[in-house]
Amino acid sequence: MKMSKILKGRGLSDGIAEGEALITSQPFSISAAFTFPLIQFSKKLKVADRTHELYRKDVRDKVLIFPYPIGTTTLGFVLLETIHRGIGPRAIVCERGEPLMSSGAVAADIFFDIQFPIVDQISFENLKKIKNGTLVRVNGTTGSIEIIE
Amino acid sequence: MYLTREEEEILNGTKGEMPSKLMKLLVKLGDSFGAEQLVNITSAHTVLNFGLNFVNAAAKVLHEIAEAELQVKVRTTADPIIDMDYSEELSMVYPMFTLHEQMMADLTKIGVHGFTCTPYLIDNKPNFGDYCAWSESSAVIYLNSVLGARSNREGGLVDIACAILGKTSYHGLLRTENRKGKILFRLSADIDKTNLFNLTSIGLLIGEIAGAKVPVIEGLETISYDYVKNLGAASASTGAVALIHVIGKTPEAKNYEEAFQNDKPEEIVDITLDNIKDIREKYSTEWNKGPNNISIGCPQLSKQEVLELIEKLKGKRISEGINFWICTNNEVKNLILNSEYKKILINSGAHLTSLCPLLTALPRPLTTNSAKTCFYSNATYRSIEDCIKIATEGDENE
Repeated sequence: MKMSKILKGRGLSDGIAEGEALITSQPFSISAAFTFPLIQFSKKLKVADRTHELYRKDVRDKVLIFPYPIGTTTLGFVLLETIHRGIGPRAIVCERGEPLMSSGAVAADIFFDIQFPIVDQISFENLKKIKNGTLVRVNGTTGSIEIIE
Repeated sequence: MYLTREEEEILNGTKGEMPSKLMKLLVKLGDSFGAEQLVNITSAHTVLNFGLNFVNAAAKVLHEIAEAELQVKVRTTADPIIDMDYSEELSMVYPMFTLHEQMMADLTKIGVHGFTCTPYLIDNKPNFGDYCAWSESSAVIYLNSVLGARSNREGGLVDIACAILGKTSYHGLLRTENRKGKILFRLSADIDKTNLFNLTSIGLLIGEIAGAKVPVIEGLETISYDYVKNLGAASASTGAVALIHVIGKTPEAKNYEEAFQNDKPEEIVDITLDNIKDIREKYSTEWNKGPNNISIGCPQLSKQEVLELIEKLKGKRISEGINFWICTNNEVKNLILNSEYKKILINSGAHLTSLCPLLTALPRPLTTNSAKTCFYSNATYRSIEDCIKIATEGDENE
């Protein structure tokens, strides 16, 4: 029988999604990571940020988990484009979100009817216990994540 | 979040489908991040300007806004766009701008005009205390620090939503208590504070240390606002810094007490000449051959800065094979090209342009005196004097 564990946080954008966890303890710059593969019209989403430990890792269909995003003002429409093309992660979980990142996911829901859940306010101490590849269900509407082992 | 009756009506769709969607975006974001209400803004500035092939979704939304016949409610400018005067030099970059014409038509239709990263140097200059929705990081830090107006770092597309509705959510730097200085930076006596290269390097260091906390800097009361602009742009690159108090210079820091709102700094950091040297080495990319491009003006130069640079170029000639870019806003560009300075410029071979400096990077190697360009474009970071020297080295006129 499968066991599951629920962690409660805050939902920043609505929707439910499920995927394998990919965790990094390094803050994540969505603009630096995703802009180049978007320009290239890649079908995968290999992280293009040379300064990041996930460099060259494909994050497509993953539940991406990091401490907090590094925000630039293009972050929102870069994430929106990723969601719209369907080549990115399925959800994001972090300890500390911010409006620039949320705006991409919220805009995808409002303007394109595509839901991309983001949950924050779960301590990274707890998040980092999740093993890479573990199935995680993210519920942005209730603000919780379920770890399915 | 508390909404006025009018705001609720917009949300519920009585003013049409698109205003309702834009309001939903603001309300959802505001609710998530603890805003209790929306406030009216007097000005907006968007970064949704590049018609590049990776902004299709956002461009589609912009197009729908234009199709819905909506107009911005406040003075709204946008970041710089491509400069067709240099299509030959930029043949590597231009083919990527597949959405340029459509986005320009849409931005113009909704009432956005003025394309520069320094809108406060043209006519988008809010007053002290005004609430605004700006998104270019170097412009936001200038607006908060030098003008004393108030804006968070808005995102591309959200900035357009704010401009159309004339509102933004009331949180972050719009609130007085969040504008309080947290970290005091002091400069050692041997640092030359009239040297721009020192100041931009200090900016990189401050951004890195301050992160999202409000920095306060002591000992720079005599520097120009142009220098604050360049220092601030550096801090806004390495950190999420959107406000910096310069004691004795910026309007919310007339003295130490005001900068810290009568409290004490949480932290004091002393900056030495060695720190400045180290930070330059950390961020500068050293190439094993000379540059193809040299880029000056990120943020775009003020008229004064362009004139000073042209003076320095007098009698010099840019070497064959090097593009020497001087980026400024369109108004200054046209002013200079219609003045006696045009001759010096033409004789030097330098390119005066309204381009975004980000577009001057290819092909690399790139050299710059801008801390921001150095940070974002893997450039070699040098003083403006050294940039000129590199550009004109080996020339007979030198």
